[in-house]
Amino acid sequence: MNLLRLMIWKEFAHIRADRVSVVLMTGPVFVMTFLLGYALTTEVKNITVAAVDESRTPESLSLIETVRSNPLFRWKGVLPSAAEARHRIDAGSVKAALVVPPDFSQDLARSEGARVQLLVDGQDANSANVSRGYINAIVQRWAMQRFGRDLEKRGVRLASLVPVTVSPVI
Amino acid sequence: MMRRIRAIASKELRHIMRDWQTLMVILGLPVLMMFLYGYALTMDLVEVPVVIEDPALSQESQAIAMAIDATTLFRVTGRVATIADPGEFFRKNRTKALFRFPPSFAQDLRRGASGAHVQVLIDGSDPNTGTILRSAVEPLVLKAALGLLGIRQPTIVTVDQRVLYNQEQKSALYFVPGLMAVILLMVSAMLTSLAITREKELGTMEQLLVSPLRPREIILGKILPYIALAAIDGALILIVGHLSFGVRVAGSLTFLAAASFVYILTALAMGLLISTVARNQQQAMMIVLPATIMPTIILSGFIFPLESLGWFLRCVSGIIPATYFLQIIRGIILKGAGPILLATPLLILAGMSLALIAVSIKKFRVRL
Repeated sequence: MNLLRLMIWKEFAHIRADRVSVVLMTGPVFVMTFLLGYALTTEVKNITVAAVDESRTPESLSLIETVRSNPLFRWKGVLPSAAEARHRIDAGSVKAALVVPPDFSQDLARSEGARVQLLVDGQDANSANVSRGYINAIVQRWAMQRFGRDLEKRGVRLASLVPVTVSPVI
Repeated sequence: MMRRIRAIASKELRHIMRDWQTLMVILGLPVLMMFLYGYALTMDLVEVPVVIEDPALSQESQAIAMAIDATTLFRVTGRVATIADPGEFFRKNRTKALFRFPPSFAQDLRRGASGAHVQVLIDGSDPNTGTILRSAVEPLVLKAALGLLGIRQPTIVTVDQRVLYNQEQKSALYFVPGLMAVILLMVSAMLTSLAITREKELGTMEQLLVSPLRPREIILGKILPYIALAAIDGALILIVGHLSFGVRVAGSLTFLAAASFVYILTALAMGLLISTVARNQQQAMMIVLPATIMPTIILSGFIFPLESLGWFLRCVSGIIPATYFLQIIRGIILKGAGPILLATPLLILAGMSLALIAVSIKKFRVRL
């Protein structure tokens, strides 16, 4: 037992004598803990988003403004055409683009509703999934608010019907 | 000169062939990593298990629960009367969200003006899932509640989603090209630095230096076999990736090979640079891992999306060659992009390559 203890002690002395390996053993632990803990995340955020406004109506402006003001995105501005949006996605400077077609405002009142197109860079399936789901939800929410204002004119307050409280927990 | 370079190269090749265990690792590692990362699937969010807490079990709340269950996103796995500690509940069950209806939900809904409340608790341990669920629940419950009151919400806006490049949304198609950046770096930077420091360690480098060979002939001869090995590995990744994951090169193969060659040169220069600093193979290994391979795996955008990094780490990722090579190779393979679209990353990578080669040759000379 005594010999074993001496052996262990000797080995520790060796390690301590070798400054380089002490640093190499402990350094990466701190660096990796810091990196993985604070900085690295697979969370999808800061997605670069642009829009194309072919409609140029108060409605399309309002929809685009709703998307623009969302903190999850990095806004890349309103682009002149869908072709330009496609080009930006090809070049990699934009990850998702919302294209509002010319007859958007008129179609809003129709029973089938209006359509907008969402172009998404699908290279990274994970990130594409989140941005698609999120942008779709934003548009639906905008539509719901609009519908709520219509109802209000008829005397029904949408917000007071079912205000849903959403609180994420870990 | 050509003859002498060839002599050194064939000597190095013999070293490589003799050490067949290392050779197996070099050829087996890419395939192994491909299967590890290729199957790291991104999960499509469908039929997420949720639980309804509903003490009153009124018709109204049950109707909303059914509407929730009817969506493709959610599946109601259970209904409970009361939950004392929701945190505890989430820890014990595999449920991702908890919809809590108050006992007076039906009356509140009928009363209208003051409104009814539904609380939704979402498991936020995976932020991406949490984000999607969170944005989906409010419109969903609101729509169902309106239906109960006899107000049919019309379809107002439909979002036509067009996914470009990776239409099937397979994550392997994203990871396999990315793997090229890591494997080519490993083969080029690590093996070159090991090969050169081995000569130093054994004292044979001095013998080579006193021979009529010029230093640049020694360097060229030593790195040529590794360029070939890296090229074989790259081809291997593409072939196995195609056969088992359906990876198809959308762009030009020639362009892909040319860009890979520039990247291999960059990595070789890094290996060379390290071998001028390291005195033996162990030291070379200790420097290669934290200085090149680790940053490439975690900070180049290979696994973690670059957009999510803070500004400091983004700056760090900006000096890693693989960051640009990843843009290039994913651009070629997935998007079918050509040199014009990829001009920026190409120029930066080429610049880095030239700078690293110049510095490493200079350092190699100084040391001699």
